[in-house]
Amino acid sequence: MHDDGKQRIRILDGRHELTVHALTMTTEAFTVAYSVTPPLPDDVPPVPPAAPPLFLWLEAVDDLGNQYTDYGGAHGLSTDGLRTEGSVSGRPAIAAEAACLTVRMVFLRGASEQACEFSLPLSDKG
Amino acid sequence: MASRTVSRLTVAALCAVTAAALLAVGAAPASAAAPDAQANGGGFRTVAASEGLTADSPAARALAVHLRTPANTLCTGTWTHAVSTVQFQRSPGGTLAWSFKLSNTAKAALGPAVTVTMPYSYVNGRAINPPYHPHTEPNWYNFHGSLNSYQFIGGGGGGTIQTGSKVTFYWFLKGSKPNTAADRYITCQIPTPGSA
Repeated sequence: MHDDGKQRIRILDGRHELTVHALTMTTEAFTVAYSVTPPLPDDVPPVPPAAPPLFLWLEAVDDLGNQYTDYGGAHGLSTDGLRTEGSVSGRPAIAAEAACLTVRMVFLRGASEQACEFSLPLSDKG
Repeated sequence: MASRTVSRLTVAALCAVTAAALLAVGAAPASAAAPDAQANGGGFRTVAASEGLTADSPAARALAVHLRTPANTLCTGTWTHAVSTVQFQRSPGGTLAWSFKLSNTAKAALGPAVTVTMPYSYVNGRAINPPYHPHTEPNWYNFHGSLNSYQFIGGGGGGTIQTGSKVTFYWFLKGSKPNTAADRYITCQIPTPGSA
């Protein structure tokens, strides 16, 4: 895993900041590690029962046009309570010839669907 | 009415190869009584280190659950159970998304960390490549996933989920406490896009 320089994206109407930490790859999948500050509302107890849940998934495409689908993830409150920490995976494995992966993280809450998009260079992959 | 916004950022990310975690466990009878006929089931299990998990028994059990459980309930709203609470919503674009949170009972039984996997999933009577990659995290995390397009196991193509289709999701949880595990399964009917 390599650090990505802690670059950041405003999400959810600008109320939160998503930091992409790293991309890891296996022979069957890839995983994006991230954090969100302040933490996502659903991760901070107590969550109001009437609050609509926040759903999250990943979509991705590489520079060759190969598409990748969500492979699930997990997120939760950091031990210090200051941020959400999480990871989300995609599949299949990223094509060996690809030089760049564009990831779209989709957030769905009630009728509001928002997404953030970022590009990850792959030129140094092993 | 749905609203969609997109922000862009180029992130200088580096990559490395990591080994995928593989979960090997032995199965023991569930403590829950005969949950197989339920659309909303699961139970706590023990893992005997000396036992290998034969792929056949849980696979056959999961398929049996899928085949004999009517999908009378839409994949929407909140599905509570002693193992976990699952919430579903189908986006206007057609993706079925869910959250998966352990119950307090499960947290106590499984320990401070848990590996959540989805070894089996089905659409309309056929096994598909499960849409969830194993994740090992603290027990208070939300182990979320989604399904839109899918591939059948063993060839024969795949497709995109359709309103009215019957789906079964089978989760397996391995606890950080020695020899602890649980499973969870839900059979439901794909709702119309935009259903919560």
